[in-house]
Amino acid sequence: MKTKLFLLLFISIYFVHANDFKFGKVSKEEISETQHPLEPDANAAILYKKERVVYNYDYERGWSIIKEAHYRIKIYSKEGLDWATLQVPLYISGSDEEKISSVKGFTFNIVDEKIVSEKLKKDGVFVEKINKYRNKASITMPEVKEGSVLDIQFRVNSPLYWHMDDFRFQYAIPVNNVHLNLNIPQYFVFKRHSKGFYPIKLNESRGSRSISVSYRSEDDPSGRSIKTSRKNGTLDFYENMYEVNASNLPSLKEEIYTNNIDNYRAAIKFELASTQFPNRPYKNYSLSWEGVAKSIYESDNFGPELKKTNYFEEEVDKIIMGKTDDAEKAMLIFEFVKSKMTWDKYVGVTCSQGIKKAYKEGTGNVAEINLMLTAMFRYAGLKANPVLVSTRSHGIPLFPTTDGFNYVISGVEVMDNVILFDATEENTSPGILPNRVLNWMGRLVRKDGSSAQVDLIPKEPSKELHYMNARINTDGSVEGRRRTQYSNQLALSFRDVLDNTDEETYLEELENSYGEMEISSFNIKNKDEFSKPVVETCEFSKENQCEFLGDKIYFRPMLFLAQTNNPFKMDKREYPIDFTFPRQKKYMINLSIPEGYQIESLPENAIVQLPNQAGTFKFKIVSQENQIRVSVSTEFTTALFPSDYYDALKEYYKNMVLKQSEKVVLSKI
Amino acid sequence: MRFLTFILLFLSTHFSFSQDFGYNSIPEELLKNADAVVRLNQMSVVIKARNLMVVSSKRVVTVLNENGDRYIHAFAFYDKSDKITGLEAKIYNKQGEEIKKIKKKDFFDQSAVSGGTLYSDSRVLFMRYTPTEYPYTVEFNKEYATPNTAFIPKWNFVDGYRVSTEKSDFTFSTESAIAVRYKESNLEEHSIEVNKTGNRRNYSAAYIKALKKEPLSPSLNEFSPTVKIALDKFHLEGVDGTAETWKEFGKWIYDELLVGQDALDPHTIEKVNSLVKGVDDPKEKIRKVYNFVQDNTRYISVQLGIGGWMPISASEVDRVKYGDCKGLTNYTMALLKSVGIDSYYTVVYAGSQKRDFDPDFPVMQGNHAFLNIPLEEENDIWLECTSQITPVNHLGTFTDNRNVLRVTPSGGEIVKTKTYLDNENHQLTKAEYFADIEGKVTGSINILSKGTQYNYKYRNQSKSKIEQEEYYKEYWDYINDLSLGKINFKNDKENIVFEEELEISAENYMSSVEGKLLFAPNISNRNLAVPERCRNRKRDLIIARGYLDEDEFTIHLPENFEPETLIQPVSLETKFGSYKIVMEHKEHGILQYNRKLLIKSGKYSKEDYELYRNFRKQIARYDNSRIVLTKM
Repeated sequence: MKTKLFLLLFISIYFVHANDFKFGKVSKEEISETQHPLEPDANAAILYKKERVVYNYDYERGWSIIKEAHYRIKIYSKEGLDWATLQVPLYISGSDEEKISSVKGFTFNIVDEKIVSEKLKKDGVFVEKINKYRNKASITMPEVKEGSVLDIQFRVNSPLYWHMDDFRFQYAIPVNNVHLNLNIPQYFVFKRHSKGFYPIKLNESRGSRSISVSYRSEDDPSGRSIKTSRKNGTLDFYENMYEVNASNLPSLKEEIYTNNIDNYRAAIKFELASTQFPNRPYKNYSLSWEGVAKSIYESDNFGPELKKTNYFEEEVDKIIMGKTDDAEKAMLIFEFVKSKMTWDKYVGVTCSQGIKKAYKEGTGNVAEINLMLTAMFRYAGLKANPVLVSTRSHGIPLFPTTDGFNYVISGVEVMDNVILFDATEENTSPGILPNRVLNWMGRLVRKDGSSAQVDLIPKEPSKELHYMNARINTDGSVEGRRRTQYSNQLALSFRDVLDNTDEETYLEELENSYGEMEISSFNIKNKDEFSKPVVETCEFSKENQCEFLGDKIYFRPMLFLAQTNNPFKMDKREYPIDFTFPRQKKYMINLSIPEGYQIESLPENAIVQLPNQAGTFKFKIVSQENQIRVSVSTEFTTALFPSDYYDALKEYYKNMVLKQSEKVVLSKI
Repeated sequence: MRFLTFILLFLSTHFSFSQDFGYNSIPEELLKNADAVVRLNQMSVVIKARNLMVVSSKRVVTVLNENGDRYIHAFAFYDKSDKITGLEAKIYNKQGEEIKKIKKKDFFDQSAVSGGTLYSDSRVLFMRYTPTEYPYTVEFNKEYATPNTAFIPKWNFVDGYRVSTEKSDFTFSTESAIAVRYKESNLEEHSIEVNKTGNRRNYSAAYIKALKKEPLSPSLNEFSPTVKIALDKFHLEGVDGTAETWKEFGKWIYDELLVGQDALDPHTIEKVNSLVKGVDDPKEKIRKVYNFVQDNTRYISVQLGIGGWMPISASEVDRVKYGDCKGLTNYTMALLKSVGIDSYYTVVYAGSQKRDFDPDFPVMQGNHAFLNIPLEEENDIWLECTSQITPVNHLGTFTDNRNVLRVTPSGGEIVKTKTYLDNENHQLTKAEYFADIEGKVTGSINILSKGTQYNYKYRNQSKSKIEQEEYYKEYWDYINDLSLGKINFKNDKENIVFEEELEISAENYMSSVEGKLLFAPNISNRNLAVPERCRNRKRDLIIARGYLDEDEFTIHLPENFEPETLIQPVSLETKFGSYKIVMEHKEHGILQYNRKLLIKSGKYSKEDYELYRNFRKQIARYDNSRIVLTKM
């Protein structure tokens, strides 16, 4: 028995070792497998993914990168057939283009218990020009059906030696084995960052390499002479070698209230930090957040743009003439930029057409608008600095990389505080930023290039206050007055909604959003007073708010304002829950009951709390004669909950929904 | 070339209208309900020869707000055989002063591949302009020449909802002797002027007000004014065509695009023949061949030149085992032919919004191909060849109930696809529920779905467990603490019936008030959606597809609880359908709840809209209604 076990062990070790995924050598077991051993739901799986990156040097063309990839993909079901097409982005930078070559592929099936392979031909490979910056290669495999195993191999030659796409290890389908191998000459120093929930180990080692180069050399180092001679030489250097071997990476699934799924994907990013070529000065690209900020600050389309003032001086002088209060000056300049400039919907940390031109045209990208704002603030004597940001869709920049930031706003230091401004949107106000910006930390860069972290998520909760006075009628309808008030971030989105719809359409949508409601005397206050909460008032009437059972009337004390749905329905959750910003809702409701009825019972008062007081729901109801007074509040003190809060949050909502669904009972006198 | 320049010059003089593009000159009536006003929409189409059409257009749009940006239409789609000779845009401010000019070289050039297509040679030139204020006006001038006279631009006097038109002007003329056919729709209702002189026709209209979108209304296509034009002899990507009648047009498709594309190698023919060996029933043969296609191919769309209209050959599909709708349809047709079954390549406008081929107006059209198989003494069979899971003869809402073009060797014919009768879209739910004193309900549910209801659900079986759970939590979103136990599906592809077997439980389903329990007996099929209110409804009510739901629930009450009252029998009969509830206290502690809802498809008057909403409101209220359970 013991020997048998030993033997089995031995065999399995041997098997694992021997199975080195040679291109074109697919086992019968792989093809006949009908479901993924760890995720039986999976429609397809990446059995193996290998990427190899090496550098090449050519005297005429300089350095280039050769990337080789091998994918082995298993199709389990018909829904998985999409994975039989592989798409490879090919980047373009000016006249340099990445090129795909040596595309090879085989589809393996079992026919009559024999492995049959079908070769990928040229007509299954397409290269298409997408736009100025990118081409796309598509590889689609022949003869694919349920059970097929695909082997695909290709090579990309890239003159863009400074650029490497993220190496991804996790996909929407499981990945059984990945192998990544990079050899990078000593001249290039890359920063490596691994990210995701699933830890990836990067092995590093060093090896030597020499390449022979034939080159022409100018005899006169000043370059004035045109006499050159041909020379041969060898270049000896060492290479940093990086290796990843990982296995059994689970598939990546989207869930609601998730910031950006890419934040959780297992991947490694390689970013060029510095270059040190023989006989050339050392050039630092980026190393730390400080360095990243500094290098952005020093780039031509950032710092120097910030220093220009002459184009606006005249107009800004007019605006701040005679003003001494810094806060007032800031407000005036902010409103001026907001009304003067229209955002062209491009994000980026650097200017594209230049600030002057943007100012003249009245449109610009994020950097142009907010650097212009910062420059004007400074000109007016305020302590203003640009703040670099990574937007929500760009993901959380966990590691210092030059493309970690894709957006810039402006920060004004007042006492120990930094007040943030974003002039790209009409409805923003100091400290109130568009939701896309509310992503973790920003980096404030000072004039000397030094920098500091700034929290972008507002501390103060955004509030939604509902006041309602209503009368319950014996036919089950209600009528009354409502007043709803939105502050901060909620006011921003409400104002955006108002701007994007005409009043008639807005009213129709409002009426329909509560099922069916008649609205009259509608009024909006403070629509353009951005520093104040925006207030909506109206009179309303709505049918069917009561149930009649026997001769009793039942209704929810919050009527149509009750939340009847728990947003968290699933049993488990993997990723943190992100509400974008802290929120508070309050309801003050007065109801009068119809004549001839009395209150038989009211729901009980209740308080529901999240652990550590992170959230509180309060429900209070009192009655006096024919009047009912309800006051309800729910508040989160934070915007981001770790996933282990999920059960508590789900329970919190459950109790809240239950409480709000409870009924007042009226009986006939 | 010189000749062309001359023509263009001529046209541009013709276009020099003196119009004020300032916002203030827009009549008040055109601003109502509008996000944009088309100030001038002008196009001239000149047929120079069977294979040369020159199109010049000028479009001026005043955009009132962000939603109106989509009506600028400042783009040019093209492929290799088209030649864009002029492209320019001008931007005007509110006062009508020119503030910017965008030349052809400043337009962005980009691949125009839509989602789902792997590769195509069609491209698009488009401009990017960020408006600094609203309103602003864009003038867009375009001139191009194309050999593809199969597609003469269709003229729409109305571009969509929430856009009004100040002036619309369309001129078609031909310098060729080829006969021209015109199809004018809804022109009278919109007082559109038509001017016919020799080989030239001019259509013009002014002051068309913006339309508001209304739910459950006919598609814009059906009631808005349009002009369609076709040539009896045309050209398409290097191929000449003829089409005076659908018969002829179909013949052309058959002869030029299909013939010879059906060759298969002997090995494959042998293989399919062995598949159907010993099978006599043609339906069974079709099933076997269709399964073979579904198990061995997949959908990949590649559109190149004439390949946008001509299927790749059956032998090519056979080799790579993928193709687009044309290729896979042609492949299936070839396989069926090799086992002695005739089937016909059929062109259709696919999509859940029905769109018909016009029987009176043969012209190149459609966006999809599928297969028709006539059977003796029985209804036709239809095969959707791009799907790996659709059953034989299941059209679903994708291709049901519409006029399509069937292509046969003797020519084309317009036929109507299968129409699902209201009661064929059937869902039968049988369930047994147990309620306890704590307010919890558990139950086992069995749902059988057919017709379009099958169509909505049968893909659920291939979803992951988590997605299935999500589906039911969404489907029964009015039940708060819903937990799902067993989820089993049976997909009977032969009879096209989808069966769901479910176990559910819901904590706190009943709420208790003063020791009594409030209980809604309709646990698992509430139709709560009520169409939105439409003040001042303008257009007919369309119920595109009807359905029949039947529910039989047996409910075991908590121990020692009895209903105070039952829901009184309900029976609503309307022209839109009927609704019935019968509730019985069968025996001690057991309630029987039976429900039947029939919605009838059809076209109803605009006045009926409010009646239909009332019907829906009543249904929603009854479906939500509750009874009181008291302790004995």
